Amino acid sequence: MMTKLALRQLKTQWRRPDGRALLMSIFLMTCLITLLNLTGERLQKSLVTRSAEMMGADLVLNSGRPLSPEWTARIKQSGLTTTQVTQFSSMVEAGDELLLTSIRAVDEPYPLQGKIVTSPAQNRETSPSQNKKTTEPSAALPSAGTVWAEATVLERLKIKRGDSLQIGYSTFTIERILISSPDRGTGFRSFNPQIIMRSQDLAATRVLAPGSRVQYRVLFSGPTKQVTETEQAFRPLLKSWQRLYAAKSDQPTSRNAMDNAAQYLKLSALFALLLGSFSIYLSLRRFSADQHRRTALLMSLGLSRKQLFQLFSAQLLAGWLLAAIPGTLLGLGLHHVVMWKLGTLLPQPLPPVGTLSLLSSPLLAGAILMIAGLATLLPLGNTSVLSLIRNDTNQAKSDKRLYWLTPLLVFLLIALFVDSITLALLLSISLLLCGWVAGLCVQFLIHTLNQSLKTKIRLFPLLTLRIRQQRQWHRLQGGVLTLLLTLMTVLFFARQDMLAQWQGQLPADTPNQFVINIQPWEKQSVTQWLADKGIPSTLYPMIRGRIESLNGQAIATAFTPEQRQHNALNRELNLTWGDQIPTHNTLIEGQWSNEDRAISIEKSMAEELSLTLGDELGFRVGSDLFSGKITSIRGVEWASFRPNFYVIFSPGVIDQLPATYITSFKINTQQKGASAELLQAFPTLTLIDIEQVLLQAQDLINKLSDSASLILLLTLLSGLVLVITTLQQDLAQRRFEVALLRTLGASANQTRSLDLLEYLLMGLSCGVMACVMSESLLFIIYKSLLKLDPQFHLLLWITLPLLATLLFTLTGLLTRKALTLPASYRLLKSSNS
Amino acid sequence: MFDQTSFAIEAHHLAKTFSTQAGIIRLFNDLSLTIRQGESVAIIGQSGAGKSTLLSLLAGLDTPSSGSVKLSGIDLNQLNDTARAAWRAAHLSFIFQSFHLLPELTALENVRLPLDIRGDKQAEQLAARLLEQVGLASRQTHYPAQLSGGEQQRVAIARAFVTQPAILFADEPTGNLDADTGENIITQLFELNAQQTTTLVLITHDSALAARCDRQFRLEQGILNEGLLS
Repeated sequence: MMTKLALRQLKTQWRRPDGRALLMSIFLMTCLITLLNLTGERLQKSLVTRSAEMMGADLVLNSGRPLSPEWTARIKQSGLTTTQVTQFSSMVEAGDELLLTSIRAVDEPYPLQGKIVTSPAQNRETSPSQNKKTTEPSAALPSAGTVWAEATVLERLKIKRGDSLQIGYSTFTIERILISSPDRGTGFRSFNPQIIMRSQDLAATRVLAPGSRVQYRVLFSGPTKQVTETEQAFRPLLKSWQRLYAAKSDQPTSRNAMDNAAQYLKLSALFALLLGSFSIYLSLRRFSADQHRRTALLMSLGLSRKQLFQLFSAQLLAGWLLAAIPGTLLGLGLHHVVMWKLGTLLPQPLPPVGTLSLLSSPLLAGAILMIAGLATLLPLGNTSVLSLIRNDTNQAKSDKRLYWLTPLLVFLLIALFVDSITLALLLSISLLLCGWVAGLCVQFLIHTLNQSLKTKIRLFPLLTLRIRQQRQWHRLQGGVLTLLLTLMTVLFFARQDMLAQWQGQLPADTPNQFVINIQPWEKQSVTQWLADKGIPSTLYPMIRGRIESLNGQAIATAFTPEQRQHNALNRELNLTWGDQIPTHNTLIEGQWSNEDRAISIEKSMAEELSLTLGDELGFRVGSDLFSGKITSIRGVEWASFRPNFYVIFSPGVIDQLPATYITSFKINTQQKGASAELLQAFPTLTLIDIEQVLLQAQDLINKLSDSASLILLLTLLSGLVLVITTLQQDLAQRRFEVALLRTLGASANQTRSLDLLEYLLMGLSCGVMACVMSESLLFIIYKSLLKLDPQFHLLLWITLPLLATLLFTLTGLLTRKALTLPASYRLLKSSNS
Repeated sequence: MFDQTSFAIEAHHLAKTFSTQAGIIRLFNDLSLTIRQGESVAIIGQSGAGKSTLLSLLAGLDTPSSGSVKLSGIDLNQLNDTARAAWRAAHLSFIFQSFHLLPELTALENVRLPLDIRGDKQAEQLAARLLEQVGLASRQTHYPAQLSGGEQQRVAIARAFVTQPAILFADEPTGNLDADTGENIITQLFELNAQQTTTLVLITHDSALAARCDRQFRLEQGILNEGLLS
């Protein structure tokens, strides 16, 4: 019977709005945390624990230049198993289709760690037995004259396995489809569709020439001790163009992007946890406030405190099971959706879902539920049967310590979950602070809007009273709703604007094709070829060199430590020379000079390195050392899709050094086939179709922001549940007030209008506040992150207040219950007795 | 467990004071009362006279500022919380003005609830018998919402007697009912009381109802006088 009572009680009580809000909070919280946790963990796992497999080795030496003989000797001496990889970006061609790919030329053994997984593709010529779709680790490398290519390559080039594609001067047959492979390379290279070929076939393609952007890698593998010794021995010998990665400590693969993703997931998780805990706590508080009579009665019938505790715990447990299991399952499902969406961006195959991380989210929700439950339900044990005799509704005295302990314990849980107290503290404080400010502003807006209604509506005095009574809840609701709407809006518009505005800002003649790796002997014919086609273009020589000194002083002493972090001092720069300022650059300071050893430098570099006219910069190209005197400073539009340079020399200084040429031009829609023709005429050129790159970037941004939107949408739902919970907090007070108004002569319509007006004001204020916050945030993001011209979003100012009003009014009306006149009398009577 | 005493309730020199912002309010001072086992006693008084407070002291729900209360020879204030709750569950019952039935349980389930709490295997039969005695045999499976006010109070009475309590405290049991229904309820209450020889402490402001008890006390300005007239 006690079980029956517990079950019956559960059934009726979960039918109550606060019971439902509690279930909904647990459900959404487990769902979101499962999604965020699994996604975060698998991203990290795929990067950290499998980094050796991903790097394809225990140690990788990355070099921007071919290895010197000394290095080759050193590598031999290391005693480790080694292999060399040459990786470069190149356009490949099949029929009329072109694609920018990342090509690896490799030798056996390859890779040294992990394995390449390939698949035999569907092919008309294969027999049925060969036609099964199996994946298998491949033992060898592509046969000579063939390549292995990722499915994307085949899709984009509209070809099948067994078909051929063109790389430079050579034609290759696609032998297998690449499912996954370690050693994808670093940076953007790793995102491009991948192709693997044998290094013996590389020379014939004639794709590589001096000045080509190539990564030369040496992979090492062997006993840990030996690897560590080699690493220690090599590190001090590294040149500026060389990097050493150890599987133990480095995850070269786009670490920044993934770090950002992980931070985003953590922030979302924290937000979800804060919202969820708050909703759980408030709904339990509301729930327990209504349990005093029942508790007193059960105690008068002989229920001991222990039994009472068991009864409520059983109820919480049942509620948790009811909400956390479906929540976890949905979270798992959504995680798979996200992983499927992000699929091609992540190294495959992904590590399996960890049981512990799958369980951690429902356990976390359970722990928060129990902590909040203790704080709200334990005081019920102090209820006195006396309250039934006196008919008072005074709540049992609660332990103040419990109220302080709850947020502290929840915070510790959250810190444990995000694995950093500092991060949890920092994020919690900033979120709470932003929410608090937003809440205050919303409250102020409601007040102002209400004042403007003073002479316009009859309900004004009542509305003013209501707003005064509800102000603390308005602050909370306003803060939460505004923050959520702001986050959603910023994500939506930043994504929309980023590509649209970027493309929109470009003048009509902006180049859409980039060509690099034009060899000196091809310069004349390429220029001629473009001119014949009526395509205007300028070819710039490009020489790679490093800055070595300033006014005769070495970098180490001439610049401050902060300045020494500047890109220009840490990598090889693309240098060029010419007798006049490029037409798309603007002269900012000084005069363009064709005197011997005059140089022109880019404005931001001059500012950040405190360079002024007259300074003398020393350079090194290969073994050659030379210097130049700054005679002018130029403004450069980096997003103009034209060849841009930090440093331009006057003629006569670097003309004799080996250079390749670079150019960019615009191809109209009528000239679509021109780029394919150009590559056919000059197969070793590297042509980059900017439109295609933009499309690829757009695809990447869409995939990432779709996943982020899904997470935000779920967070918004949690926020709405919190709003519902807060609306219910003083439902009794509201109902009492409505009952009083009804018995004093207000019609049902009037009391409804009063509620509606409150919700309208609230929604409108949140919407307007969210607009203000979103525009400010977008302004900052555009100015400092995306470097775009900030825009005013009229659409935002129309839709957001409308949306917020609609959201709030609907939510409010859903929780509102109409009160009849007799019911009003009863309510007042019972409250008075 | 019981002392060999013929008194169900012995209250000696009870005092109850409350401290408020305005100062200390003395509700009563040096109040004594003894009630024999099986006796029915009515306590009447004006609203605010302290009747309910006296009842809560007598039932061991509240502690006096000074003085002592013994129920069947036991001073409840000497017991710890758990023991006191257990003793109350075993020997006391209450009937409230607002019935206080659990809405999600049927009439029968509401009556058997106190037996279920103590794990009585006969719960079902005992509860059904009590419901029959209060004339609700045909309403066993009805929920409180389907019962009239009078019927709900009869369910509450059945629930109070089902555990065969030594002492029954009734706080304005007819306060929420009309005169006729109230009369019926009271008749049933006294019948059951006589059958079970329960000690009955009845709080009321109705002199006619009080007159049906063996003894009557009037609580006025902190003093308890025996007799109906002040």
